[in-house]
Amino acid sequence: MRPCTICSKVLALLLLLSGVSLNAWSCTYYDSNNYYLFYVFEGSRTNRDYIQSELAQWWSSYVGTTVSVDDLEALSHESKADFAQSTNPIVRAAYQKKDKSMQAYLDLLCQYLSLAPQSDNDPWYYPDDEEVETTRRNLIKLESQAAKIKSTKYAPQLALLRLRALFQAKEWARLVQLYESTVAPMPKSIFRDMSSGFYAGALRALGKDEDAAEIYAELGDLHSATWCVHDGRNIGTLRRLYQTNPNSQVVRLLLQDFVNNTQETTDELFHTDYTLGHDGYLSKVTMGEVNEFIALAEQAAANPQVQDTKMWLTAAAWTAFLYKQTANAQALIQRALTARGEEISQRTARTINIAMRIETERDTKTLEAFLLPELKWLTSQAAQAGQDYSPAYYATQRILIRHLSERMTKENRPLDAALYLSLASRIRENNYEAEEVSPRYVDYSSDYVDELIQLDADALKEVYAQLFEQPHTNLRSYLIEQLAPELKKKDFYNDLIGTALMREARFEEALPYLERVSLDFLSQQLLSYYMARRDYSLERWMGPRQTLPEVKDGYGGEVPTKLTSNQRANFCRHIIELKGALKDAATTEQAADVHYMLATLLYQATQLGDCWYLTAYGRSTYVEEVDTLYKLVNTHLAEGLKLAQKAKYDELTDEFLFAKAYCEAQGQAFYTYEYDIDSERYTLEFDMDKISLYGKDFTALTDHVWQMPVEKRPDYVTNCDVVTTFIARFGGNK
Amino acid sequence: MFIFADVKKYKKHIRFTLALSLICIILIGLTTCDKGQAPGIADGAPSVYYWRTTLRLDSTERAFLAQHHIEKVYLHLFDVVVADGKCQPAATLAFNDTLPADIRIVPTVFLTEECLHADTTDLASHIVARVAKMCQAKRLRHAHELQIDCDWTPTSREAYFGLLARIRTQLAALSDSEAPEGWRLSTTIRLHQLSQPAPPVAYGVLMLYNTDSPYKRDSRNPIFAPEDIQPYLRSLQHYSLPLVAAYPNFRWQRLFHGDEFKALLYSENLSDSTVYEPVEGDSLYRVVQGRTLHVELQGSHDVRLLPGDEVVVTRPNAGELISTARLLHKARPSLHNQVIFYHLDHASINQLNQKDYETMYHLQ
Repeated sequence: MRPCTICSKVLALLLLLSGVSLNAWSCTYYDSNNYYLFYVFEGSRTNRDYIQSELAQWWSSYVGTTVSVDDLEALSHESKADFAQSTNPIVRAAYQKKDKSMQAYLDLLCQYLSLAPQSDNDPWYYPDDEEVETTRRNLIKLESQAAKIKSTKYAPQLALLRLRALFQAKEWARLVQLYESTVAPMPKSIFRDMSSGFYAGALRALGKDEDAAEIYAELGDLHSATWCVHDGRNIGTLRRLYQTNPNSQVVRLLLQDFVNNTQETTDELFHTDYTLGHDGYLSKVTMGEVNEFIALAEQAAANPQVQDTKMWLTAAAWTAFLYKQTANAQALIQRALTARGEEISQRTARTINIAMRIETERDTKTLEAFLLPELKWLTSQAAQAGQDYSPAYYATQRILIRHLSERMTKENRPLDAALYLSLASRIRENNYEAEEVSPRYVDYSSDYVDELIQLDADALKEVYAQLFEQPHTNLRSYLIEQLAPELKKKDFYNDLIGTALMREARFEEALPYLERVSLDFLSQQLLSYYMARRDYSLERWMGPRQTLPEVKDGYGGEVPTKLTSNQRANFCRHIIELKGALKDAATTEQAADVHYMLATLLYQATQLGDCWYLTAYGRSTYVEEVDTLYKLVNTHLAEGLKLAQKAKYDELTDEFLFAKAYCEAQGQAFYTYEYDIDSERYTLEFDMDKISLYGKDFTALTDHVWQMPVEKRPDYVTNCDVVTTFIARFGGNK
Repeated sequence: MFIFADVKKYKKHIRFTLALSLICIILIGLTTCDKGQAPGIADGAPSVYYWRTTLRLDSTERAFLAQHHIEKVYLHLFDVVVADGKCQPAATLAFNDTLPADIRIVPTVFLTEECLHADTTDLASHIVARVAKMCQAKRLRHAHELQIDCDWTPTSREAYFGLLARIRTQLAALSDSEAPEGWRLSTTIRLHQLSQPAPPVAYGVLMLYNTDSPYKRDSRNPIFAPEDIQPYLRSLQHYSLPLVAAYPNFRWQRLFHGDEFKALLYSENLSDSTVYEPVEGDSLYRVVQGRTLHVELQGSHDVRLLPGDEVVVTRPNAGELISTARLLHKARPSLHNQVIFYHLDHASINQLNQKDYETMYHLQ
């Protein structure tokens, strides 16, 4: 018997979609936003981009026009013999200025660059000892030549060149001596920073790891510094180094590391059920260390030799706060805010104070008054980060999402919770995703909209009232100002409320909200693509799925489409009309017909229907058992079937039985379709349990149809491959 | 049935029976000898792999070489990996020290399987030339053999064997007074490769470690489990290539969250009680403080330690090593013409005691 195309193709597609959906669930990305708040280091001065940019800036200033990174790199192809004809702007400037010192420096610099190992060009190259020795001698000679150039003007460059040569020649002791005698007293510059990197490397080679860590930390190269002291990330090493030098950069590094490790630990202990979470660890290991750390911080804060007491007090405050010593933490952070210290410590203290206040200030008005200027400051800090991830950016994300939005959710203030999420998204978008967001579409997958979509219709009405009918506090006004323009429109909220009411089967209430939504707004949304092309009145079980050629795998490829009417409103009117017809039905047959039509329409508006977009903004084949519309479909099918049977309305009875079997089958996995590459056809794999609910539906359907004369049996039943397979398996003499 | 009371009567039968028994014994003996004659190598000696990226020996490592009369060191010189679509050397050994002068060195090169899917046209000459240059530059005396280590599979076998054949040709040209016929080529053989045809080399080193996946928490000891080796005994008996054995002495520190594998903690100090709490002696630790181990410490990616994560310390069991080695010895005695330990490293050396090493190095 020919497989029923209604069942096979449609169900295969549905299963495919189910797979997509389920896979998507299992891979859902969840950002815990547990970013560190405690930072006491500015950005690294050793990364390649920073160095190149600083060098280009210095040379631009020397040359008088912009010097690019390419110009800098091109120096490696220059040689003194060709200097006079050189087109390199640096070489030309040195000659035009008749700058003899610079010409001598450039000569040696180009020589140095030409001594780069041959392995740079040929990865298989391996030098023998003689080659290594020759290069070493040349490097030492070059260093001596550089030493002979007496120029105070270019002393930092010449010193850097000498250090580079000594580094390549592995002359560690000489390098250290040269740095300490010559470079250390120099003022800060990019050349001094680069020199410091070679100095730190030489210290490492000499086994002086902690001294190297000090230099790396001073340069902001925290990874290298951490590597040098990787076995010392504990309170014991911190105390020992503090006693040696309380203002050491390694102490600063270990302190930051300690606080951030503490935060990571408590984030896991208190905010998730992911890990152990029992108190044993707090008392046994960590708590003791935390108390020791706070005591050390207090000691440092009282030490007149300590320059950055603000850092110590802030560290102690945040650690105490994380371990629930709230009163002590509050006192410490207040002291930190007015203590002496570096600017970055002040920013960190202020940020941590914000986080602590959000968690501890119970009075809403006091909190809001405090928050407004602080949020403005915080977001401006994050915005300054531009395309670079910065401590301010991370701190802002954490504070808005993990502290503020979570608190608002706990206080049942969904609008505020959503507004903070929106602000966090805006900062993210402004910094990193600006090009990706269209100003005209509503991004229905954004955190703000996602937060609102989860609300029921009544809560959404309250959100609307708070946005458009009630006076705003200054803070809320500020947050609303930050919303994307399309999220400030009433259209968006009316549509949201109307759709939620439809989901709750409150069609009469939904209609006025939907009627307020302008077609212009609706036509700009991607869902208009579906609205213009799909028909909710077709029986889902009687025909193939309504596919759209541009939409692959159920999504993607949509474009906004000009609408002539709001299909959601039309749907509501249609349902209201049918409900009236049901009430006015004169005969049982008429009532059964209306039940069938209602089931047809409502099913199409569920997530399993073709017109899922009528009640949702995204599609999932997962249908919760409590889904109101789906339950209503089942009610209409059951009641209609009873009426059809009562009226001996055989044709409709078949349709009801078929619809019931179809609907019941959607949630079950008793059949799958395997694709056979050779025949390019799907093969039905069937594994049904006859005594199950769906088994009973299929039995009722086939019992009813097969009692009819063959010529009266409807094709949509007898041609259906699932039904015929069922008959073959369980049908006995049918 | 014979009636022993009347021996004379059945003398002829007894003679016949004895003769038959003798023939059976000879046949059994021949069968056993057949196993025993599975090819080995003539110049076997106690050996060890050196696989770090800097050659620097401490006193424990030097003492190990002396105490166990190690005569050969398989010295890892570099890896060959695919970078920018081309096969290139990586992780080249830095020579900050020398090995004792009387030790024979076998330069060893690890080749990623990915290389066998790239262009290998010049790879043989590149490898041989670089190895020869390194040996010459670093005066690695007594180096007359190259070993290639690669986890090849049936799909890459043809490319690998082709490469080995080309390397062998190149090595033949490296003749000198100590190796008039040029250098020898050997290769590692993983257990799963025993069912495949043998590669075109002089001999193979059977890697008797990493017998299971480290990613499964409840599996058998993934470094060395007798149960994972036993299924290969039959293949081992019939494998045509001369083989010697390499056994593990290293340990793994495997980080798990529940049963989910997170990372191998290479250089993490588990005795730092501010981070790790011992749960079961020296074999299981629990993380008590969260922190990030940066990529520089972990090799390929940052690793986040979370409170409650556990570190499972796995090391080979000496008793299992010895009993399995004896089983292997029965199946193929020539396997132990040479025993190699992987690898020479202070921490690894201490995973077994001196007596265990002695037993393993002198298996009979």
